[in-house]
Amino acid sequence: MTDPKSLIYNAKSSGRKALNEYEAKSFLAAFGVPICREILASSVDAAFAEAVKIGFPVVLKASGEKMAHKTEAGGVVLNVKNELEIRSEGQRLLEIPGCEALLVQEMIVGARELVCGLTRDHSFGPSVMFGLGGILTETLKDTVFRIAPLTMYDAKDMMSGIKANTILQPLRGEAAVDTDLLAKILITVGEIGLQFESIAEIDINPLKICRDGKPVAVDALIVLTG
Amino acid sequence: MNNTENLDFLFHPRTIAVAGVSENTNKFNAGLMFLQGLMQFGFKGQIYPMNPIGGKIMGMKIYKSVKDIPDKIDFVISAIPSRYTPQLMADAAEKGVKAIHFFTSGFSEIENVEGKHLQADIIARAKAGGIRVVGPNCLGLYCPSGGLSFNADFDKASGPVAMISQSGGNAAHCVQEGNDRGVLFSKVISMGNGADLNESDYLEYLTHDEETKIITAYIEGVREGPRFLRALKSATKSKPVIILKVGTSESGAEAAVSHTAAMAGSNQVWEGALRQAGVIRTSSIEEMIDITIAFQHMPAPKGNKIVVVGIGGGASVILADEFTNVGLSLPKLGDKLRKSLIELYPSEAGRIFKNPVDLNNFESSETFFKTMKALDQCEEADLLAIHIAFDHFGLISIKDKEFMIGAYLKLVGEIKREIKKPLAIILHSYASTQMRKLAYDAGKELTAAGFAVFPSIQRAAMALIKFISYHEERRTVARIK
Repeated sequence: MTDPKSLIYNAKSSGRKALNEYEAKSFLAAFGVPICREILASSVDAAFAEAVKIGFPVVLKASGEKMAHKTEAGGVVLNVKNELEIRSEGQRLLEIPGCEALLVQEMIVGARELVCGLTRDHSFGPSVMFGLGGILTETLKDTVFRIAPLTMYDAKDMMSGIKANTILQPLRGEAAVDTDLLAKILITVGEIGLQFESIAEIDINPLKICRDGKPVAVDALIVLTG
Repeated sequence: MNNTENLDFLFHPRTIAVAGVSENTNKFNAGLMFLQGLMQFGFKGQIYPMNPIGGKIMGMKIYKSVKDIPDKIDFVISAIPSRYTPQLMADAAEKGVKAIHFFTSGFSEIENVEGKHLQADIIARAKAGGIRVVGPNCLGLYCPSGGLSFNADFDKASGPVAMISQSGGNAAHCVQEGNDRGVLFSKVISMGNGADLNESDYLEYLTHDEETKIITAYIEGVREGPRFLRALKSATKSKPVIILKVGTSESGAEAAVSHTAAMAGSNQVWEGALRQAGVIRTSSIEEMIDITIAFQHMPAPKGNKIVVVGIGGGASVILADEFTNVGLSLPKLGDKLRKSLIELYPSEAGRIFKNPVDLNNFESSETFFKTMKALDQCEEADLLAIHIAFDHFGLISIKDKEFMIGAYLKLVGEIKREIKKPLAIILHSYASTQMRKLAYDAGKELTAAGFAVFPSIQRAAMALIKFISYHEERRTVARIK
């Protein structure tokens, strides 16, 4: 496993202001945040080989040091089902400006998308956010904050604090969200904020809920301080 | 919290010198107002007026410098122009003054370099001289037990409520509305720029102040966020803390890269911080007073179920909606309780024995007592409320209403000792001038008798849900820990 400090050091020394998705998730995984199975592939052939190991369907994403907004650039393909699809889509992604490699991910199945993040408040310092994720984050703005460090009570109180808190209960055949595990993720993100002055912001969005109720980070961004 | 500073000396000075008292009583003179305010309020110690020109005021000698006063000076109130404050500070340090309150403005709040420099200068002098500073740019202290007030009209009786205010005007508003509605204060601090003593210092002190049982604050922003949060967490362990935090219109960071930073308006983060610290957040001064009244007059409820008794059928329905919408729980009355209530009355006609219990009118004080007694002893309710809709009687003349409501209020006034459960009184729906006056007078009377009185259904609902939630959360936290 990569040393999390070196991820920040490398990004900073090459003048970058953020860790890309792959680096951000490696960083978070080092602190126990569950992330989706994924691997970087440098070519279409390699991407296919990795997809076979992970098992179809997979998610294919354009990856590069400067690729912060993949979705807007058309750099995310969900539900890639076979060799034909991975080869044609993989070729297309590699042609997007800034794309240096292909990120092959297991396809997490689940209806619920949450968000967990970190920001630095000018009065209180590192603050953890929790709320509805994906496209709902900024449309519904159903999010709550707590100041790090968080207790287990704080983390659970955040969950009941969002308006749509019933989303954490069993839903359409999917299990109730594992709130203990979710709480641990929120607490961990707060700890990272306290421990790493060089991290300005974190987004884990979406933090997807698997059908069995386990949260998994499928996309993440870590913004570094100036 | 061993390093908490004991600020008792601020609130109980033996001697006070007021700088900036002019002999000329014809023009506006803040120094004179502070001087007269203290004297009329009944400050027991010695007061000395000061002014560089000297002279006499109300038979007292005006001293040219604090150094000339032939007495030890504990506290100085400065109402002089800011440019003279460094000299005052130097003299006060030499004299051995313990604290100075600067009503004087023209410091960091005016956002120019000179103001900031001047503030830094007087604070440096204060530190060197061992003087604590209240302000600058504020009304200062109101502490009835110390005989201190910036306004002689404030209540001279002490009470359990403290207030820290970053606005003098809002402090004055709170005290006046509070006094008018039966809220009595231990210490009110209009803290101004908080250049030396800031909100965290006062909060830490009030947490340990035996005179203070309830802490309220009007906050615009804080200097030491993490310390303030720690102080809040510590304060809420022993006392309810009710905060009006303004600045809700500020937006999130404009240059944010992540969703998180874009969502993080200062208000959202404050909301979380206050919640995390167990603080009750309010959105207006009126609501702050309403919640304070609940804490001052109502014992802690055992749960969240409330049973309401009142007169006014339509008003009872509106009340049920309002209460339910804010999250209050209006339990169904059990068969046994319903039966025992119905038996007290000649018939069910014109009355509704549900929750709210709508009595419409009252047979006798005995019946009313028995009704309230039955509710006080029932299993259904953790809290009780009585509501009276003043202008809800379409058939009755104002004169008859006055008589009927007057008789009812008398009954309400008499049950105080009998009721063990927390009880709220809601006097509402006064549309006519006559009823408004009657409601106001009745409110004062019931307040003086120690009842928690609320002026509308909505305000009672908001105050009660926050009061009840506070106690529920404390039970939850206690259970987890």
